[in-house]
Amino acid sequence: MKRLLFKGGIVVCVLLLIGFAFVLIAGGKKDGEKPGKEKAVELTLWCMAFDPHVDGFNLVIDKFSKDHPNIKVILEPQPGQAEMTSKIRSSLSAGKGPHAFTTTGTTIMEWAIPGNILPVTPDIMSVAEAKRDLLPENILQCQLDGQVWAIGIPDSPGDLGLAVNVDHLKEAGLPMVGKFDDMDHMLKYAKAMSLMEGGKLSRSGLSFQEPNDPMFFYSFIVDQGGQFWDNDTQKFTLQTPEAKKALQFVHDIFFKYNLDSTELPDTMTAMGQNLCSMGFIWSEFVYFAGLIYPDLNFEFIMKPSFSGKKPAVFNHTDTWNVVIPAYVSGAEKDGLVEFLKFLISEEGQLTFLEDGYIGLSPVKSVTLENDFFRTGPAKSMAPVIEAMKKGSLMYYGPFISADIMLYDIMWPIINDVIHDQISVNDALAKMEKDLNEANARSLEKYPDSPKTIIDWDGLDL
Amino acid sequence: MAGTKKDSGLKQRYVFPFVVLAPLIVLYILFVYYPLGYSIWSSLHLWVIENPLKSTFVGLRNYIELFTANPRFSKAFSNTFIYVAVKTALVIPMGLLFAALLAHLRRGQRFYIFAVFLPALCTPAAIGVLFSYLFQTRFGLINHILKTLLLQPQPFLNSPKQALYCVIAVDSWAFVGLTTLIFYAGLLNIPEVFIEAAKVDGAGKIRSFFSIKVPLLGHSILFLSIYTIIIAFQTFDFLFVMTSTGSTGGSSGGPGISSYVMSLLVYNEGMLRGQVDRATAVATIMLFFVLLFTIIQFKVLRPKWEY
Repeated sequence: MKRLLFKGGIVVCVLLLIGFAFVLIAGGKKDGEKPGKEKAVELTLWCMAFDPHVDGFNLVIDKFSKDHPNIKVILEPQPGQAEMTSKIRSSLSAGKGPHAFTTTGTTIMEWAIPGNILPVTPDIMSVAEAKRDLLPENILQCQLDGQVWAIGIPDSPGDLGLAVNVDHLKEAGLPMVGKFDDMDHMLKYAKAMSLMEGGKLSRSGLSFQEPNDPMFFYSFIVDQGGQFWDNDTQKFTLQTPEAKKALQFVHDIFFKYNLDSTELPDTMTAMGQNLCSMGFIWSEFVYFAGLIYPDLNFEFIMKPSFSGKKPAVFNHTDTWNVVIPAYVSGAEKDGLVEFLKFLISEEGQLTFLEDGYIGLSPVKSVTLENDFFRTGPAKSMAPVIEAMKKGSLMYYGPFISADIMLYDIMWPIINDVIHDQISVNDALAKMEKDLNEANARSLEKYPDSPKTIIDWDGLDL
Repeated sequence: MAGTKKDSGLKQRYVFPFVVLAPLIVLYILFVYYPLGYSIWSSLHLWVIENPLKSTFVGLRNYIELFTANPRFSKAFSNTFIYVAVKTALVIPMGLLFAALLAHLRRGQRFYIFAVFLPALCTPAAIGVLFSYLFQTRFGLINHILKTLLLQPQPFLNSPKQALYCVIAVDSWAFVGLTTLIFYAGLLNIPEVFIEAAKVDGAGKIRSFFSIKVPLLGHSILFLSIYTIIIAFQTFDFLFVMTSTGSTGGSSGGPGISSYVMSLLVYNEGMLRGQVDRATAVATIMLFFVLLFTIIQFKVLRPKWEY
C-alpha cells in the first residue's frame, strides 16, 4: 500500500512539474512568424489615458488607417503618468511591451543610454531635418550620440500661464484678457475672484497646488535674470536672492495675499469643484476640463513676467514624445516608421489637434505659421507664440531623474512651505542639497549621460 | 532480503514526504525565495532597471544612505512605527471591549457582530475614497458635524500634522471588526466553570474579566497583536487612496511627505520612479523588522495561562 502510494505520489509530482513547465513555456515569448511586408501588420501604441492624447491619437490613427489599410495601429491608453512610466520601464527591461509609446521627454535619456530604445533618426527623419523642422526643445531633450530618440505630439510648455473660470471672471465684473500685463494685474484679478466665508478662504483666486508647479518657480527665478543651475560646476544653486524672491511669492500667495489655502484641494480638484477661480496649471487643462466638467467654463490667460525686468519666460522641459522600443524590427518596424512619419508630418499634427486640443505642436511650421494658433481654435496661444519668437522659450535640462527632482523633491518641499512647515530659506537649502544628491546619484547610474547645459538666453527658433 | 525491505521502508518514510512536497518547494523557490534573494541582491547595487547588467555593486551603501541622508525614509520609518503603535494600541483593547460587550448581550448578538464586522469585509480602497469625502475640509460630513456642535473645523487630510492619524483612525475602524470577532469567539470558548469558580471566590464581573478571561485569551491576544503589527507594518491601501496628492506625476503620502510610510516609499521608489535599489533596500528593512517583531512577540508574549 505504501509502495503504491509512493509510486502514485511520484507520478502526481512528475505530472505537476510537467504541467508547470508547460505553463511556463506557454507564457513565454511567441516570436514565431513575423509578418512579411505583404501581410497585415498590427502595431500597439501606448499613450497616457489622458483624454486630449487619446482623442488626438484616435484621430491620427483613423486618418492613417485610410491610406494604410494593412497597418493596424492599436492604441492602448495606460492609466496615470507615473504608473505608465513604471510599466514602460518593466516592459523594456523584460523585452516586451508595445511597439511604440508616449513618454515625458524627461525619461527618454534613461532609456536611450542603456540602449532600450531605437532612435527615430534616420528612418523617420534625419538629424538635419529634425533640427530644421522641430522646435529646439524637442531635440535638446532627446539627442544622444548624434541621434534623435523620439518625435513629439502636440503639447505646451507646462508653465505658460493660468486657467481661469470665465463665469467667476464675469461675476467679478472683470474682462477676459489674453495675458496679464504684470504681477499686480494678475493679483488684482485673483483678489477680485477670491471668496471668504467666516474669515476663511472658501474659493481660491490664485491656486498654486499642482505637482507640476515647481516649473513656474524655476521660471520665476529665470525671468529675474537668475539661474538655478551652474553650467560649469554642474550643480543646482538655489540659495540665491532670485530663488528666495520666487519662493517667497509662493509663500505669500497663502500667507500674505490670502489667495489660496491648503485647506482647499489641489488646483485641478479645486477647479473642478468650483473652489478655485484661477490657478497655475498646464494649459491643456482648459481642453481637458471641457471634457470632464462640461458645466464649467475655463479659459487660458498667459502669465505675466515675474520681475517685470524681462518678458515672462516659460519652459518646455517635459514634452510628450513617442518613442520606439529597441526590439522592433522587420515589417513591424516598417509599419511603425510609416505611422510615425505621418504623426510628425504637418497633416498628422493638425489631425491630432482637430478636436480643439490646444497643445503646441513640436513641428515648427505648424506652431509658428499655422492659422490654427493665430486665429483658429487655439488663438489663446497667439501671445505665447509671439513671446516664443522673442526668446521666452526655455529648456531646463536634460536631467536624468527629472521626475524624481520635480515630484519627490521640489513639490514636497514647496508643499511644506505652503503648509508653513519650513521657512523659505531652509526650503531652498534643503531643495538645493536634495536636488544635487539626486542628480549625482543618477549620473553615477548613467555615467554616459550628457552634460546639462542650460541656455539662459532662451531657445532660438 | 530483510535489509533491503527495511531500506525500502526507510526510503519511503523519509523520501516520500519530500517527493510529495517537491512541487510546493519548487513553487516556493520560484515565487518566494528567488525573488526575495533577487530583491536583497538588487538592494546591494546601484540598480539600472532598464539594463540590470549595467548595475554596480555598492554593498550596504543604499542602506546607509537611507538612514543617513534620506529625509523621506526617516519620515517613512518614524511614521511606520507610529502607525503600528497607534493602530495596535487602538484595535486590541477596542476589540476586546466590543467582544466583552457582545458576549454580555442577551439578544441581537448576530446583528451586532455583523454590524461591527461589516467594515472588515469592505475593500480598503472603497473605504478610503469614502472617508476622503467625509474628511473633506469644506464639504465633509465630519466638519459639518463639528460645526453643528460649535467646534472648530479641522483640516484633516490637508494637514501635515493630522493626515496620518486620520488614516490610522479609518484603518482601525475597518480592522476592529476582525479583532472583535476573534476575541468574541475566544470568550465564548472559555469554560463557564472558571467564571463560576471565580464567582464563588467572590470575584465581581470586572475582576473576573481581567483576572480570568483576559489571561485565558492570551493566545488570541498574542495572535492578534502579531497579526496587527505585521499588517500595520505593511499598510499601504488606505494611505495610497486617502493621501493621494495632485493630478500629474505626484505621489501619495502627502501633504508633502508627512504621511509617508515604508510600504508607500517602496511603491513610490520602485514602481513610480524606477529606483529599484532603494525600494528593495526599504523592503528588506521592513522584512527585518517584521521578522524581529514576530520573534520578540513569540518569545516575550508567550501566554502563561492555558486551559
